[in-house]
Amino acid sequence: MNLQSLLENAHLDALGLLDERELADYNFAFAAAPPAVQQQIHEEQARWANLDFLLPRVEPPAHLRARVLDRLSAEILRAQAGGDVSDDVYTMRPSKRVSPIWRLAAVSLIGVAGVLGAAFLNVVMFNAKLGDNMTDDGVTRSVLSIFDGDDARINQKLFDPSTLTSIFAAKDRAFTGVACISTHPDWETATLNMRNMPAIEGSYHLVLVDADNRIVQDVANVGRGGTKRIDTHKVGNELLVPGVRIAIASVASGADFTTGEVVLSAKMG
Amino acid sequence: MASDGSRNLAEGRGGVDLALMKRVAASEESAIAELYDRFGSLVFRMAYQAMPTRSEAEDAVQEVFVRLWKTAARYDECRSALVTWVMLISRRHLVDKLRRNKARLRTSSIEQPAAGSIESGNDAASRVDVQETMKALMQRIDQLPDLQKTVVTRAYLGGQTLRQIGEELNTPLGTIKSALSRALVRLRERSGEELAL
Repeated sequence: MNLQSLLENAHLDALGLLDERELADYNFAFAAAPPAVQQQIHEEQARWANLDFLLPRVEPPAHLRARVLDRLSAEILRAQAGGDVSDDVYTMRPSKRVSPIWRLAAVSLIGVAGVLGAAFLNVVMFNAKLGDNMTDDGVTRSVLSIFDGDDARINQKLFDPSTLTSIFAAKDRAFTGVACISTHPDWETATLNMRNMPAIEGSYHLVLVDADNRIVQDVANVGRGGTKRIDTHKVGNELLVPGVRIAIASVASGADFTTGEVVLSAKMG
Repeated sequence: MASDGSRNLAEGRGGVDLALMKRVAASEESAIAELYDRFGSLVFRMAYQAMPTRSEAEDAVQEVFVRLWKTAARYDECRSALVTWVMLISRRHLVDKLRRNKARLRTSSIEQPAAGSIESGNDAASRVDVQETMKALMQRIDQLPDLQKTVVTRAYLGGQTLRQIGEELNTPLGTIKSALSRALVRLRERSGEELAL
């Protein structure tokens, strides 16, 4: 609202000719105006409010003063006795009351939501902890199973220099299976560990092979593969002396082991 | 919240007016009497102009002062002078009454006084004076440009809102406001010139 509009509206405001929306706009513009402009408007409005040029030249009757004061005394007494003193036209409307039942219900709902939220978090944390424990326990059991839970055997496998461990190499690089074999002079059997061996119709055999990777002797049948777990097999270790060539061959069901196909091979020691 | 600049407006007369309205809000009889002594004449003249009979004008004055008492606590000396506030409350009350009664200020009644308004000899004499004043006012209004004449008659004398007038005349609100403001300035100037003569 520019100064011209502000002054025009000030005249109209002084005469009570602005509606509610216009009055709100005017009040906003008045509050934002510089003090000097506010001062000018203040004086202009006071001048305009004196409507001599528009009003009839007539004086109120003498008795009117007493009537006005009596009427006001009566109104004041009525108000003091508990009557309504609010001005119905110019009073801001109070917000609608909210039923105490709804308020109680809302507060209860918030409380219940809080309790449920806390319980949910508690369950989530408990499950996570339980999951961790189960995983830890599973890993431990898996590792222990490789050595039949034999603590002495674990120590020998990991830390004893007398333990012979050989890692098998795949003939075909695309072959997914891996395997290793360990033996120790104190053990009655060697431990063969395999993992990710593809499932086959026949079975895998630990075999001895010659320098050309031809199978010369069967050592043990070690299953059909097909699991991603670490498979552990105890196999006889009499033939597993340092320097001997060993292999894992896939042998068709019912076929002679010498017809097997070498998939992994290693040299003891 | 009043700014420092606004606060300065309250100095001087404003401070006295504010103190008076606080006392009115506290229902002090002497303050209400003082308020009437200062503004009773202005309010009565407005009511007399707006209401069809003297009796209704007197009733309206009482109602206006009740409303001034009820709204006294809301008086803001930074926002307006007390005379402006009193005028505003009075004008709104009278316009409300006019609208409720679907009445119109009798601009035509200058020639045709309201039927049934029985008045005493003195009242009748003063009513004749008033009619003379109104006739002079209407003559001044008649000299205004058409739009200004229409707007001032409908808004000030008829109690219509400017928005209603704008819609009925199919004219922008800003134009209506400007026309009314200019009309009132011109009426005030003419009135001053006549008094000077």
